[in-house]
Amino acid sequence: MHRLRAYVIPYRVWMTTLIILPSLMILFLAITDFDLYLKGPFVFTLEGLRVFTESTIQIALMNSIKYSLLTTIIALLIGYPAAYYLANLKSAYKTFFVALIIIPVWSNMLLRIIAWEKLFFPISILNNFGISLDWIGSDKAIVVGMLSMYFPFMILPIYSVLVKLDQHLIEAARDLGANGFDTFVKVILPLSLPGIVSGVIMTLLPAMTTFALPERLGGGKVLLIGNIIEDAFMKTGNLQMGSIISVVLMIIILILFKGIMTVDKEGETLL
Amino acid sequence: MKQIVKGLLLLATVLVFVLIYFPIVVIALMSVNASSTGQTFTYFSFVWYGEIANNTLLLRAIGTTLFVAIISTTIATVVGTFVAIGINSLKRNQRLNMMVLNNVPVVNPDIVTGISLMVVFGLLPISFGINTMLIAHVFFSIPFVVLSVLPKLKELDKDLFDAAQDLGCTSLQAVVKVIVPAIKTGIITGALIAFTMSIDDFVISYFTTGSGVQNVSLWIYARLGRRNFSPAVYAYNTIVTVVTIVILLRLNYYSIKKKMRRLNQ
Amino acid sequence: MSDILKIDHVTKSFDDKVVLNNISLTIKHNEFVTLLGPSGCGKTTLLRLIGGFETLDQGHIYFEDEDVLNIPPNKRKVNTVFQHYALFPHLNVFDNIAFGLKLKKQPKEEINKAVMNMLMLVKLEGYEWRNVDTLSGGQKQRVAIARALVNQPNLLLLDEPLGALDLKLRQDMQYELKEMQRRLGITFIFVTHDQEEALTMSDRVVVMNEGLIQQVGSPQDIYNEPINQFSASFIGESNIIDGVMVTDYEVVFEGISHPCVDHGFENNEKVDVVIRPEDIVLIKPDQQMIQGVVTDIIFKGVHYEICVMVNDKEYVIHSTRAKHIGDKVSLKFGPNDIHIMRKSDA
Repeated sequence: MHRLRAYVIPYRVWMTTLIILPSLMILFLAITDFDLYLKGPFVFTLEGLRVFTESTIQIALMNSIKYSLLTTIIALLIGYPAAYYLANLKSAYKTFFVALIIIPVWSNMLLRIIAWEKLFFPISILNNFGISLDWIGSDKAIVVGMLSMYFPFMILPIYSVLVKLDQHLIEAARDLGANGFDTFVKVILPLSLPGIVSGVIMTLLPAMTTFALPERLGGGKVLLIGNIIEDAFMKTGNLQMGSIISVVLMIIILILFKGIMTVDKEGETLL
Repeated sequence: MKQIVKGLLLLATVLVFVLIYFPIVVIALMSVNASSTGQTFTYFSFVWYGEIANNTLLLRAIGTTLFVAIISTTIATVVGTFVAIGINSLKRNQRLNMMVLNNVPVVNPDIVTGISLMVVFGLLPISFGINTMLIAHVFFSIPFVVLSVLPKLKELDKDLFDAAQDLGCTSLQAVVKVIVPAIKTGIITGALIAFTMSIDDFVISYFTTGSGVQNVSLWIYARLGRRNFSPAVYAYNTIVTVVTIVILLRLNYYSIKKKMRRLNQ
Repeated sequence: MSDILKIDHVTKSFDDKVVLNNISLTIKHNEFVTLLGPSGCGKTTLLRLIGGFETLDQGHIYFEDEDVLNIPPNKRKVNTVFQHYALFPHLNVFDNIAFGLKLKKQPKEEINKAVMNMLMLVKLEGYEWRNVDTLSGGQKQRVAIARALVNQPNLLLLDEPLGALDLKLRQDMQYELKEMQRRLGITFIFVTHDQEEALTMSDRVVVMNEGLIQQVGSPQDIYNEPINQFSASFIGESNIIDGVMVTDYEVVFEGISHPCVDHGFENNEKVDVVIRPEDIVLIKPDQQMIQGVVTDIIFKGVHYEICVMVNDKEYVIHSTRAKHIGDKVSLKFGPNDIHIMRKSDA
């Protein structure tokens, strides 16, 4: 078996190059005035940190935290029971129902965002059903849109843990005097923690960083840090500002990643 | 009490399905809506399905999407399988370290992966285009193949590889003739995931492709809220969704049939 | 002694397959009863019905004279030791054992005392803070037993609890379990497919096959007087020979008439004759007795297992004296060593 270990070496080099190198590069861009494309001389400067005093940036940071937390909490509160229901379904079509959760993810996300956008304007196909919404730019629009996009990422990791849960542990808890509620709180919930942590992170991070969704459903009024990064890298070319925000984001990711790795060392809940 | 809990669980499940399928239904509706803005439903028509063939830029974007998906999935599946086999043979600590590295692109939000690759490509003497898009797709696909192959490898008999060699296989033959067939389902799942991730990717392609080349997502994003946005893309997306549902139904049908047969024996 | 459990005409099916077919059984206080049978005979299902994990189709189960049909497992004064222990992986040894007591909201000190007592009983002092994943099979087994016993159940159900242990450990645990049961005075219902385990530990053995109870009796009864061919072949190794009961106290097999102690059969009734391998003694060839040729001999540690071919039928004999392959021998046994059973299909 040990001869097979050689297969890992090129992959390690490839992954290190494409993960560590750019991370250092972004950190470097954040504290210098280096131009990525002209590659001229550069000087170290902390000038860029001043972006944190700008109200647009502050609002974008606050919005990212607000919307991602709100979405994640609601997605967990509704997604956990749904995952539980699916995991305990006694039907030959169980795998089919679970597959139904994944299918929407395979539909183009931009189009799904547009679909919500169309419904949230006062004049929409909903008028045919006597409904007229004026939600564009509201919290509702963004949270509903996010839930619709990220529910599967919350549900699937929780489902995969619950469906593998040893039924004998539940029977053992009942045998030792636990009623349904006790069994859930003392056995099922703690044992599904890895799935919950994965689900929370896989929902929180995309929600925090999306830029297409707030752009469309926010009607141009709501900015998230994703929008700031997109603007900086793709439109204004202010790489230093983009990198500074990215570094903040990467610190958050690092903390969350540590969380995932403590409960699920091999990433078994990530698929 | 039990009934109330069950009812609430069912309610949550229904709510989830409604929220995630609402946009799918709307897209399907738009694909048969003659209106070109899609703001109201004018009348039923299949005109946008025919329009796919007439919209050269959209057709080219579909071609790019499929080309990149097929090439990147092929590369990622082969490489990912070998990498997973390698990782599985590592000692526990080394394996866990490799899995941390492997899972970074899985957990990382697309925007971080996107700008990271953009910065690396910017440093290298290559121009942004289909090549960089392809490398990016291979990069984010391999970890998913590894994640779906690894559990199958863990179920394997630890002595399988040695047994194959004992019977005269070279190391590579043992992998190709014995291990790969045994983990076939994991490889197929991994390839399917890689393919769908590639077809739907927007954010990473956006940061790594430059302006010359467009896949479907980039085509859409460039036209959001503009007049040259064609509802033909709704038709394209609906076709893709229907095809995936049919494939899944067939797979599920076979697994149900297999289950039934096992029960009957 | 009064009855603790009464199983009354219980039937249970899974998907049209009858697993328990009209079973009745009574179990007394302080008894150690073993349900013995091959896998799929229904013994585990019967145990799960008593524990409350399955619902029965027909019949009743009375626990201390109370019908437990609608009582969920958490309200039954019965605890179970599961086959693969089912220890909670997120709790340490102490919290696993304390699980049931904490649910009853007992005071902390009492819980502490009870858990420590249990740890002493199962000889695991000092392990209370260990993660259950780090325990060996035998230790997990002890934790599972302690976790059940700490609740002071009136009836303890054990579902093949020793199956995952190696031989030496299994024998130690058999002894310890029996000791525990005697000391605590709790009724044990023990499920196993291992006949030796059943015979060593039990007060009473219930032999089951294909959803039916084949025989109930003390280990001695079951071993010495198997009621039918299934019991005989399942319990220990036996020579089962076709014979004819010519008249009371006389049976003919292998063409020779033998005196025996059985009676009450019809004259010339066809029967199965059972002779235990250790009850046959090999002697020099003798015209008056069954003769044969040694075809195989295997050393088994305590004894030799010798195969003797008699008229195309192979007899197994346990002997402390070796023979050579090809030796001509005769089989000697007394009237008490012959057990007569009615043909099972009659």
